[in-house]
Amino acid sequence: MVPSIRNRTAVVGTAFSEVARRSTRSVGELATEAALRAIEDAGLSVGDIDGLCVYPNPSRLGGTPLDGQDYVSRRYMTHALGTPDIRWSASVQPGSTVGSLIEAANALHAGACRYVLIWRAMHNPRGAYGTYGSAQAHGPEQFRAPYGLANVVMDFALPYSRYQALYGATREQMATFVVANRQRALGNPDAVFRDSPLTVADYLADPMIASPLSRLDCDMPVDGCGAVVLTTAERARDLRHRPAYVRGYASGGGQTARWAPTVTLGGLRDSAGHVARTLWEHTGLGPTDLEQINLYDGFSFFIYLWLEALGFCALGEAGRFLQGPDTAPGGRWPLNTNGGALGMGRLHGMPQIVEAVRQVQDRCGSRQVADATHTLAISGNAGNACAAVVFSREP
Amino acid sequence: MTANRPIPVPTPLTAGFWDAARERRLVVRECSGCGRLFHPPPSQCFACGSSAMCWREVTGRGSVAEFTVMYSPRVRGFEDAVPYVCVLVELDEQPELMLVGNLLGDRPVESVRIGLRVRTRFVDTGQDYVLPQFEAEVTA
Repeated sequence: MVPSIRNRTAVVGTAFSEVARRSTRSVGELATEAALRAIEDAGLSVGDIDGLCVYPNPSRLGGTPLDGQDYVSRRYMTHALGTPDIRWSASVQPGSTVGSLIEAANALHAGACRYVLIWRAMHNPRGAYGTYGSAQAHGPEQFRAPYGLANVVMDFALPYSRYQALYGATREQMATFVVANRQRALGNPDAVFRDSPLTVADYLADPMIASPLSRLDCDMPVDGCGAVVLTTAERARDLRHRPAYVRGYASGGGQTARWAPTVTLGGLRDSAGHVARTLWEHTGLGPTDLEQINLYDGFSFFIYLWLEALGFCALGEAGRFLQGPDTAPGGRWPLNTNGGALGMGRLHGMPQIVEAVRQVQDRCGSRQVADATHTLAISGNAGNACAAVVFSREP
Repeated sequence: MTANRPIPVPTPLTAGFWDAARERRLVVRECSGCGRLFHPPPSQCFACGSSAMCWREVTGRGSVAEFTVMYSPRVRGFEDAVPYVCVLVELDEQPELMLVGNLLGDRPVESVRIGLRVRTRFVDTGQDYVLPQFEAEVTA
């Protein structure tokens, strides 16, 4: 059965704010900048926006996060936009950026509102990212933190070590992907690494944070925001750019069948596999129907999980697959053509969404993929919160 | 050395784990209905749905399923411990019954690998809790 929402909503505007390792402006100001630019990109005015949806979680761990300083809520955005007439709004939790896009599409399809703004605002706090300073380990932390396992890099280093051992995956293989991703970020004005190339030797010499993940396997924390405007297919036709129709989607997270004190490779695969099956069923498509793909690479290792779960390559083959021609420019599935998270900075899936939209809109200039009729964007780590969406050029 | 490290705060659901550790026993949660083992302790059995659960002592032997060597001083109390090895150990009693620990003993950074056979060693922290840890099994 064809889902009734298929191609009934579309992305019509996309933008980033200034993206910098550390900005002199607050994340609230950056989110406002991204929002106004996305509304302008759509050819709309602020008064048209009557829906808001956000994945608002602050990037700072612990402490008391402040609205507009550490994160940007619906309330903050409503004030920053001059209190437009908001008829529908939501925060997604557990969150992912594509997840907020899915909720927006659902609300539009239901007739709850006409034009929805979504955004993902990220702040890079001072000091080392992801430090754990709590003297007490509560809840599930009590079985991890007393062992010094209390950092997100460590969480995903664990399953990566098992993956490496099972399939003989090497650091040289990952170097190919990380260097190619950084190469693709060059010349992208929105990328934090827009003028900072990387070599294989740089990657191989990079110090470990939590083996097998080194600093260059982690996306750069930034101050910045991406914003997107969606509307119904009917309204989208009259706007400035070709609409990027929402063909279908899948929301992940929470299906993990494995009960364990930390992230396991099996759990990640369960969840990614569930998202993949749901996505192909909901879109009525498969890997060969896509011309360009944008997979979440907040940690480099996630690329392997998504490529394998979605069926772009066989289990355990992702490292070798990425060394071949298929994901390179001109290949079957040009991957993360804007540099992804590793090239653009820690913007939690916005690099993936914006590139997938602009590729079907034919707006990508020198990196445009010819005849990009269907593109894919994924945000999230396959474990606790992730989502996938396919955009279509034609309704 | 461990004075500033995060201290486990037991709840009524987890206190039995830490009480047993003080007696040098390793326990996990067992479903009284179907016998399925769980760690961390859940409120109910996710296999059969029963709410009747009890503590079951396990051997503490298993193999390393996942590991990482942490080089960065980002966790309170572990600043001077880097590099240290965190392991996720699959216990022999049941597939995917997992516990987190540090790998102790000689040269853990060099010797850790997936599949390494380990056994539990209880470490007195000098505070109000004893940590179940892991060390390589002595091989003949």
